[in-house]
Amino acid sequence: MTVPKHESEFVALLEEHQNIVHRICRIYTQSEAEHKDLFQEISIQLWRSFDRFEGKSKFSTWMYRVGLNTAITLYRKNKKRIDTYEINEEINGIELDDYDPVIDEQLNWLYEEIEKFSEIDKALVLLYLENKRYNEIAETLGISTVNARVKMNRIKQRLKKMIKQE
Amino acid sequence: MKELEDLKNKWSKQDFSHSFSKEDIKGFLQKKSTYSIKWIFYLSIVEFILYLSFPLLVPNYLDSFDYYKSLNLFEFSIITTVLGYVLLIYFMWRFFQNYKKISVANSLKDHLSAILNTRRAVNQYFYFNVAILIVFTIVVLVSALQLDKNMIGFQEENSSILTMLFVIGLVIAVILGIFGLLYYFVYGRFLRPLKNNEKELLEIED
Repeated sequence: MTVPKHESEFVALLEEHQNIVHRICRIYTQSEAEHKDLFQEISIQLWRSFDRFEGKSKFSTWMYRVGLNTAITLYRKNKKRIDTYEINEEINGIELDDYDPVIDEQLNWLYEEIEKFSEIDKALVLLYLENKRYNEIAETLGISTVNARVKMNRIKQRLKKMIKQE
Repeated sequence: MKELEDLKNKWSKQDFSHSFSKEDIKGFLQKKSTYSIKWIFYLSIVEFILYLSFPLLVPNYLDSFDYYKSLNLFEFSIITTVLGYVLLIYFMWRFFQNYKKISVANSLKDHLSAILNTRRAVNQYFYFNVAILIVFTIVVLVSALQLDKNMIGFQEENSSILTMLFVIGLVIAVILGIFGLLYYFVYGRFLRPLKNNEKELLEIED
């Protein structure tokens, strides 16, 4: 695979795969404003490390890695700002539930449930729902394939239990 | 389980209302990153500079070596001073090596470890420095009690010696307390959740 290094080609690739970034943002943020902030940040980080992308893994796998790394380390940094958003939204009477209304009721429920997960479990749920293979999950998180399988089974059980209790 | 497969299907088909155009994305790339591991880097550099310039901040620092000479501790004082700088160079080198490894394109575990190891190098230097300071203080004090005439005089009044030991202990405790609080508030808020994430990932490995 020839890897394009020009900005226009990168932009085209990101536009095409932007739903991956949106899903990461939706899981790790609680408002539209944060979502856009994080999307922007992930775009910058992807572009900055694009030169080092050698095409050894799939472009999408690489996107998950950069996206999750950015979301998990950036999230705390903006915690103060997030609190401010929440206060402003309360003042303006805007409900956080209005954030990116997903038409499907079950997906809305799922996002609410995932909010209670740890940051690592959020990443695992995302990769599970994205139907990623164990070796891709292992590569993204930096764990062994066997352990990715074990952890994924735990997440599946947790989701099943949640669905039963829904 | 059918429900899980249904959920995956819905997940894969979801649309986001704010789909970004090529122009939007190009605009994002022009913006400045707010993702900053750099502040840890700059704060750590400031810390190293402070440690490096510490002797300059102490009044009559060089004269103190004459005093150590009178206690037969000249070599010891030189060795500990040199050791302090060797450790400083070693930990600065480790700090830069780890900092260079930080990359968002790494796996999550490697990314977290690189950030935490960068900071660990500074923290470990601090602990070594404190250990040297405590050992040095104790050795100087023990020698002074045997060789320094003023201290020998002091020794005759037991209460004065105890007061002095108490004051020295208190000063060291206060310094450690201030650094502890600084570390807790300056780095703790950012690094603690990263540590927890690293721990959670490592638990998968167990």
